Amino acid sequence: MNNSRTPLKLFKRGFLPVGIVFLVSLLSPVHAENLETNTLRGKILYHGAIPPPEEHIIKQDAEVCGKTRQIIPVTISQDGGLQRAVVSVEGMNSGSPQKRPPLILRNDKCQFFPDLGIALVKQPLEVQNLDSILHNTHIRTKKRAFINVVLLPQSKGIKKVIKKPGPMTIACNKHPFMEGFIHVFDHPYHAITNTQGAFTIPNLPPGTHTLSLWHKTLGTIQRTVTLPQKDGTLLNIEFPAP
Amino acid sequence: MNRLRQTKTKGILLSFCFVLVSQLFTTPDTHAIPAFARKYDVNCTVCHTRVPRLNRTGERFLENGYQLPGTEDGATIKKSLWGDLTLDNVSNYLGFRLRGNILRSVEYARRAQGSNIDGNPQDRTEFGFPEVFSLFAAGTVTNNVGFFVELESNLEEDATGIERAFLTFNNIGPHDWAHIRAGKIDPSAYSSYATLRQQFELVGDNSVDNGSFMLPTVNRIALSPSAFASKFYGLFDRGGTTILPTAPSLFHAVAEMGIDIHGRPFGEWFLYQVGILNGANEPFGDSNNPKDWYIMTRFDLAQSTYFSANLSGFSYFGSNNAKVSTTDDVSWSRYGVAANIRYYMVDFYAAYVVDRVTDLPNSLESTFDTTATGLTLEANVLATDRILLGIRFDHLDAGGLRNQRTSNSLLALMAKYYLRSNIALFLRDDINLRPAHHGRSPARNFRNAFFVGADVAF
Amino acid sequence: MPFLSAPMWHSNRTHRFRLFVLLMGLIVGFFACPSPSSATEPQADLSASISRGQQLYQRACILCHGKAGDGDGPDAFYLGAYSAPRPRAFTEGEYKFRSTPSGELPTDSDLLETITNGIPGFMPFFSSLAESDRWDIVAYIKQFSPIFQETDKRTPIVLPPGPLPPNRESINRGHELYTLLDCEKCHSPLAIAPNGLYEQGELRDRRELDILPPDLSKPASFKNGHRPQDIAQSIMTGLDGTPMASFRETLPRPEDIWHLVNYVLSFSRPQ
Repeated sequence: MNNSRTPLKLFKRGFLPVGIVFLVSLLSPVHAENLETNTLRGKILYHGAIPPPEEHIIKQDAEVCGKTRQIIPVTISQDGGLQRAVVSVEGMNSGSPQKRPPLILRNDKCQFFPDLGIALVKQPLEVQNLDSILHNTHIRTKKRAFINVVLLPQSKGIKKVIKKPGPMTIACNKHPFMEGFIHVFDHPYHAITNTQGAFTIPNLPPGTHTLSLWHKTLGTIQRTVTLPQKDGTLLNIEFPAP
Repeated sequence: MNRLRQTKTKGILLSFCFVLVSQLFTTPDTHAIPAFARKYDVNCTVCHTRVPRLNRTGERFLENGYQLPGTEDGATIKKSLWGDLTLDNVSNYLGFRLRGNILRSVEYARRAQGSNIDGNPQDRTEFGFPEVFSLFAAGTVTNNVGFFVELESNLEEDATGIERAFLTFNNIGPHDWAHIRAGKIDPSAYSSYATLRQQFELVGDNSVDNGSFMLPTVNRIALSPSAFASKFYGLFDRGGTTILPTAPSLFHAVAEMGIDIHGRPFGEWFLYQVGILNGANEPFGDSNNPKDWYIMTRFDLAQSTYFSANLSGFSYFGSNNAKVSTTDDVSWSRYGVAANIRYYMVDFYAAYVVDRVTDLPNSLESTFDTTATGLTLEANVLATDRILLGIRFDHLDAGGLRNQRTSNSLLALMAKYYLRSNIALFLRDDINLRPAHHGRSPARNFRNAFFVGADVAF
Repeated sequence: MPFLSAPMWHSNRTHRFRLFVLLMGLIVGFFACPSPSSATEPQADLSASISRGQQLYQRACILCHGKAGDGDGPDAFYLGAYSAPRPRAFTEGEYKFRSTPSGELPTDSDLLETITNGIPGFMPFFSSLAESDRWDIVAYIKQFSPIFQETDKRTPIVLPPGPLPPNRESINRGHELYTLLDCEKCHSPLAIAPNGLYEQGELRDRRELDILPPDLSKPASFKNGHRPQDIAQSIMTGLDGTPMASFRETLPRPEDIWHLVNYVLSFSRPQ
């Protein structure tokens, strides 16, 4: 029956599955993303009123923390670029994130480092205290405490795995002037604006996206942007005054 | 004008002293409180917005016969067994309340006693504390059987007696369907605007009784809510004693002998109450065969966002329950609506009440107005954890003898300072909104009254 | 370096102790099965339990905790008005009184315990309700927050063996710890400073309401209970939503918790 190996059968046996796989792969969005992505480049601008810095007189532990502390609500560059805003793409979920080293949060001279951090879901958070005084680190999501622990002087290593995406605030109840923020994402499409207010989000599929913009003083806004197939211009997004 | 300025200066001075003294006593709030709070180990604010007013939990606790809302805990809570008796610790059912005006300053035109000649305006300042002392014993005998006894001693009037005393039988049938009270009860206890538990202390008439079926000499008006008042000039109880037009009566009586039933059979949103009483001011040895009866319904709305509101309507049907200058019986009835709205720190009350006298003798038809109305609006605002500000407007469209009756409109302002949740100092000022006359009626003689007082519950 | 001793938590000794407790628990549980007070959570028909719980909630709980469990019932405002505490918002899934670590959900038994014992000063105890009724309420209030469904495990912390006898030595060690852990910054041992070293308004809860640390000389006012194990639990787990943090990982040695508890209780004992 070897003669019966007709071209049609060969096609059926060999090429059909290959063809189907090929077609499916074209349709599959996962592959499409890998094949065609672009980089979103933008700049966040703010031209509204800038609140004056908050001055805190430190009563407790001034020998470590310093006598005063200035909290600057908004920082902009010369041309109005908004520094330290968090930009993220909404509605993205890249499935299971990879295992990552812990995000280290240090208490150093009564300041949190980083005071604006980004973490991924399932990433451990490790709180450390480098100061010679006792600190407590109180991290909260919008509604719940994530952790509120006390750290002895020069101690490190209280760890907890982050489970849910969303913004978190960091505070120390003992030193009310200490502030910090952590944003947790379940995808890689996010950035913090640099000193010029600029940001870059690479490997983003082209198309229309909703960007979420967060700033500690100005709040959160949403903007719809369209990312072209190739190149594209620098996006300028104006952050409205609160 | 000079007089007004004097009063104002005095007011400011007194307020200053008051604040100074109150600051001396300021201590952080803990829970050191009357019977039920002791029993359940909670602060007053679990059941009161601010003492003596009840919040919704307090209202439900009262409805449920001194058992926590949703429970029938009468026999179990903080009690010990002694034979087949369950005994409560005395401090868990005994409480007392001491209140009065430490200082009062009333400005009015006084009429010489028994005379028809108008007097000159007077400004009377005096010390009066304490005026009223009440001793309460209340609680549960066993599951769903409660008791309440209030002994009141009015030191100014030198009168002591049982103010209210009754038994309650609760949760007859399914939970919250029917609760019975029997004894000397306050009929309006469950309505939106109850007679008792006023944030503005009731200030009584200053009257001299001139004998049976004779009108008394009244020198000072009672500063109590007009909606609850008797409203008629020239009305007597069956014993021949004058019913003062400003005294609370009928559905709003402080206490009457009778029996009533209330419940919430359809859920939390609706309350019914039906009761039957001897009649207006009818003591033991009732001379009045036909009874008075009343029905009240109350609708409760909203249970979230720090908001709640309720509306109640009632009808009180009197039968041969009063007399009008002759020995003929008349029937005195009352209909009304009341509402209470609470939203965050604001607590607002309104009551509009219509009184009617029927079966009037023909000879009196032209001289006696058979309809009277009363309106009371009140708002309290909790400005801080300790300071309660209040305002109340009262309007009485009086009925009764046409040549006697005088309508009045009063505005009351109040500030209460809570040293602790059970100890309050208060300032109160009542203003007559009508033009002042040197006339015969205290409703017009009265100009202004200023009080500094204290209200303590333990 | 007190930190170095932190891993002691997972020392063999503790493990052995846990194993022992587990074994004893199994043995006791085997012989005491009909006991209604066992901490096993009933596996009865859940939806029936929830609907019974709803009925009870709407009678007994709604006036403070609100229709939707937001802690905003008609009586919620006047309870504290301008200062903490306000009634718990079940929708947020954050609980002060837990046997679980900081930031975690309470166990069902924790919720039951609060309903049964109330909160001194602020919530009456509902021990008069049948235990099954109270379990039904637990089932219902868990419905308000999806977090209970999303969380598969709620594991209580394990307290070291104790309490220890409140002798002079133990109280002295407790005093040392009290200073080391800066307890007096909030919990001034003297009643004259209710806010410790803070000014009024500096200590706030999650709703930005003023919160007053408890007077340690009045254990009966402790909201999470005043038995040694209750106080130990409050210190170890922290009270989420308040400035009170968890000291579980901070204590130099596990048994230190009992010294600290003895010191706290010494404020109310005649010297």
